[in-house]
Amino acid sequence: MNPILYAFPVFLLTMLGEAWLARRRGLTGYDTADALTSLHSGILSQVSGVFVKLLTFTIYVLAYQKFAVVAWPMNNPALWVVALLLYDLGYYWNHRLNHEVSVMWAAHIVHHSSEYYNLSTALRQSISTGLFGWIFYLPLAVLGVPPAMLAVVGLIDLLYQYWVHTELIGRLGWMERVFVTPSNHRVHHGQNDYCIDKNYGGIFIIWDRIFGTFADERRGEKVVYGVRKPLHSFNPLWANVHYYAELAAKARAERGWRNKLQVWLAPPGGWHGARDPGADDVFDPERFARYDRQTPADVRRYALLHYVSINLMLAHFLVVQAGLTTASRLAYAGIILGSAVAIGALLQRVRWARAFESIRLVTVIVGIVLFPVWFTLATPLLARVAMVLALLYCLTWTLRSLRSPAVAAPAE
Amino acid sequence: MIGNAASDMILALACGWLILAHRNHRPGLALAAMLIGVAATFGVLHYLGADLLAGAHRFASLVSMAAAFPLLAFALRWPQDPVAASPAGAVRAALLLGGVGVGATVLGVAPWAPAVALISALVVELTVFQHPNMRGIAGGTLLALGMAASAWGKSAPFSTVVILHLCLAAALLLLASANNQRTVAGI
Repeated sequence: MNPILYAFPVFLLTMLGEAWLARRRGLTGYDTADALTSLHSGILSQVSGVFVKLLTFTIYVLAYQKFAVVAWPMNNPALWVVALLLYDLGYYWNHRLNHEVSVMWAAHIVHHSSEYYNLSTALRQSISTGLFGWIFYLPLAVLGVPPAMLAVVGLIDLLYQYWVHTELIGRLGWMERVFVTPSNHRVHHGQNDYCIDKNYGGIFIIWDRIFGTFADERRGEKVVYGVRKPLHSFNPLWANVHYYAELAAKARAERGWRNKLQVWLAPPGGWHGARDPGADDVFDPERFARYDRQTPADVRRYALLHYVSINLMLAHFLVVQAGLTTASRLAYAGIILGSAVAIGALLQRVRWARAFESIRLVTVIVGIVLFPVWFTLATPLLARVAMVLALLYCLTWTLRSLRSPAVAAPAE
Repeated sequence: MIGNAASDMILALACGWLILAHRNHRPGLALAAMLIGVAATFGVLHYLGADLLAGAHRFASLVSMAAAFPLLAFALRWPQDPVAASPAGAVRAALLLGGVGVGATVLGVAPWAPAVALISALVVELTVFQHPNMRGIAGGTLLALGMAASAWGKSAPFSTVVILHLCLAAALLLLASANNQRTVAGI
């Protein structure tokens, strides 16, 4: 069972609490479209994790069996603390190279693409960051950290990072010196000059202090979140792949295999620090304007409703995926992916949103009608009829409401 | 076992010297020497009786094959490339190559690391014979001899492990100095 499933109700409640508090304090804590993009990215990350983590965890287990110098006993609390420290050190270097190597930045950039900083940003995770991340924990396999211990400390490290993604918590005194906190992690997500490539720690900020990447939050300068070359999209799939596409285009334009290779291996700004074309060379926090498509309120409500349904599908997928064939798993993953992309398109008001959403709804309706057993879930006839009626209503709404230019036309 | 430990010690010392001599100007070469040196150091301890380190020795040797040999090839063939000339470039190449090498090997693609090492050695040989000088040719020959001994695998009449270690130590020193002359001469 995926432990994130258990954590999810906590995530949801705390996000609602944060949004309420931010509103009470008069802050623009949340934007529905941005938050939903984050949550959709989290969903896609969980779906891809089913495929990627199986491979990467298998590599760890095999490396442990083949190379471990000694097997650590699981019942020694001190060793758990050491394992957490070592894991966090591995995380620091993994995270640092996620920012410093183009091909790894392509995977990680999605986490930084939100221009808001709230708990939903923590869930804006990548579908491909795990492709390289496992390399940094191989030394732990050689040292003898058992796979079960690695999985637990990895989960602790991941869950710890959730609460630091908020603007509502100020500085935390002595904790700022040892731990990753909301204050020093805000700096990590900032695009102000002093924030770039700083504060990579997962739980402990001491690694940044040791390796020279620490920066304290400045009192007089508001942190502006996001990346210098903004995403400008609510499509969670594009958020995950856009930088790969950019690198592929750059590599195609280069001559010779070594130059092509260097495009992927170099830092995001290139070896000589030249910025990406289109990125602002001089950054002025005062002139920054957040991406806004002025999504109408009824579209936002529709997107929120469907986010709930996509979430239910995700929960079901995570529960049953182990018993599905690879083809069924891929098909289910495709439905979830298509749903998240369709809702993102509606929020972004792209031209093809109405057609894509209609196709999605028709596909799901046909699926429910033709297959009484929905990926091992046998639904009673009454429930299926209710679902089909609800989806038909959504289809009618999509076809009617989105025809209106005020709703569908792109707000350039 | 003493022979293996002694030859690994010689290899480790050769690598140590290369690291000291080249760490500032040829980071790719220095990192390749460091990876091989770490494997050799684990080897010394392992062959002297620290059985605990057998896994670490195997792991470091695998990383050497998958990452240090390509770094060596880059350092000798393309000394101006960021992988050879920049510490950051060398480290990220080593991480990715080493990681992929370990991953592929444990997943059952056992020929991965030897194939990478072989291709890298061929690049080194090609470089040596395109820009011939005595040290380079001697280094290239010893590298080929060491790899052939390693592939041969039989221990009679001499330990092939010892031959590999000694040939590799001598080859690294000769190739580094030959290539240094070439770089200095601007060839």
